[in-house]
Amino acid sequence: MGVSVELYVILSMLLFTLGVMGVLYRKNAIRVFMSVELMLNAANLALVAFARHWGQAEGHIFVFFVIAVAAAEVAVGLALIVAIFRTKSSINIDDLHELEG
Amino acid sequence: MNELLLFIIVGGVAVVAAMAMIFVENTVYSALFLILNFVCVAFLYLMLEAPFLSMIQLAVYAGAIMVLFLFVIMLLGADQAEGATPRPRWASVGVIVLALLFAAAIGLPFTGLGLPPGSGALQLTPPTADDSLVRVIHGATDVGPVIVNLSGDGGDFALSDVDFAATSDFVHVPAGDYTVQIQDAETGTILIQSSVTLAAGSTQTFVAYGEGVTGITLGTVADNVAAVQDGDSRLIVFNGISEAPVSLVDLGTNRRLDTGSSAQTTEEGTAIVTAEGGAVTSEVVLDEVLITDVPFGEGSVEVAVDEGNPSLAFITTTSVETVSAYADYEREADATFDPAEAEAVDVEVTDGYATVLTVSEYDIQGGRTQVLVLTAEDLGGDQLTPRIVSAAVAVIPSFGSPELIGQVLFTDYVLPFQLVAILLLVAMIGAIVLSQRESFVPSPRLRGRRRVSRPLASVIAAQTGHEIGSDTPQLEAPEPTSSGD
Repeated sequence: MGVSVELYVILSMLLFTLGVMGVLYRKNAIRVFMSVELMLNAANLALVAFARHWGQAEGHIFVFFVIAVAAAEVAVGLALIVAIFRTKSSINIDDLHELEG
Repeated sequence: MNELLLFIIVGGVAVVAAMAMIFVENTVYSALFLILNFVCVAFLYLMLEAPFLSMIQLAVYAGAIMVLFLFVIMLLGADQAEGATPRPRWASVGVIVLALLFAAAIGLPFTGLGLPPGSGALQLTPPTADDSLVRVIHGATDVGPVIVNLSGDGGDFALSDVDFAATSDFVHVPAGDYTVQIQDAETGTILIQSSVTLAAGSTQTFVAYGEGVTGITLGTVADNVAAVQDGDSRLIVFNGISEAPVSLVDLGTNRRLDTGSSAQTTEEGTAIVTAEGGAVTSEVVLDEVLITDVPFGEGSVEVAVDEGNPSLAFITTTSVETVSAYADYEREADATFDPAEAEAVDVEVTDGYATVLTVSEYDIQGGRTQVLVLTAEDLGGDQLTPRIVSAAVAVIPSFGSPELIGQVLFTDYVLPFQLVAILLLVAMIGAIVLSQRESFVPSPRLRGRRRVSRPLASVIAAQTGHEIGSDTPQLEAPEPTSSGD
């Protein structure tokens, strides 16, 4: 193993932070959503790195599940965005404030 | 070093792509940058020896999911939607500061500590054309944990901290001549030293046997790590206990030798045996002799056996070509024993006696080679108890391969797998329901019709104040219809 697992974890951390930045910075619901995907990927990268470090296949199984759940989440999330766009003609998250107290 | 360079380049591209995804104005470009990021991550998975996940990442993430994203972006015409209302400048500064704090919070533990070393070799690979596989089984009585050092043509190798009755992992060692040292793990003194030649492509198991730090000796067994067909197994026996050759006999399932009888104890251990009409008491039925006459300090050749839990007996014989149906430890018993009367037959106990060292049910695992090292253990009595050290290994599917992931997924993780499958199904239905046009608006027909819970007569009665229909003639009982007859 040429590259130590710490480097992978630091890279994963950077990508996750960028994902958080995207969620906070952007107002377009689709882009917020894409940032969430970035965060999921960063977590997956950390899981795979640790799986490699310990030589355990379980990490890979979890990543497999995360990818499957992410696919389900994208399908429902995008359907929600389309439904919201139909009713409000906008997917700016600042326009969605019906539930705020 | 090359790998580190590759990591920096690919990781750098991944980070740049992620930043571009966030800060570029056009949403379509943003999605494309995210795809680039996913491809980089897939590449990193390959470097982390996860080829299956790498392909899944490309096919599912970079393929399916991102196509869905792009489709929705184009459908909604959202590609420029945001540009009109940029956030104030202080917000982006705040986000960056927050991000740095976040990174620092996660990163701090990793700066100084470092992880404990993980497992270096992930899977057992067969010996290549120019190296050999080596491991050690510790079967030396009254000797604590040992370190086995190999030094020679291919460099220095160590198999560390092997306890009694334990087995080290296999290591790949380049072929050549080596000096093998067995070293006490606690004191560091060298117990024994000998030289071996490792042939290319061979698999060797070293066996430390003998009694005490002075009597420890090193034997070698030609091992085999190649997988066998499921249901079959290979068996190798190493004799580390008895000066007389040892044979391994299969007693057949559910048949046991009677080893507990005090009357039949010999100087070697517990004896058994029998014969109808002989002087001996218990009957022995031996299915077959698996391995014959393994000399002291040597290993047998491998024999093919079925997997399962057979009762096996180790028998020492002074000179027996075939230990079969009946074995006898008393010469005089042998004399009165008539093979013709025995059904199970083919008895040939020649001169000398057979002594059963140990009888036990063994778990013979399928698909691999099992090495049984016969040694002795000091349990505190006045004599040593025979002890079998068993080591079974086979080449497993390589780490991160679809085969291994499939095995783990469909054995240990079947339930989560099913749950995820159900989740996907629910998500599919959910997506259909959500994107169905007018899904929440009841249809006009349903809206127009009122359902009345009470009969009309009682509503009228409640409103007008008196019963209607009470004075109207009512049918007391349904009259039988005559037309039906």
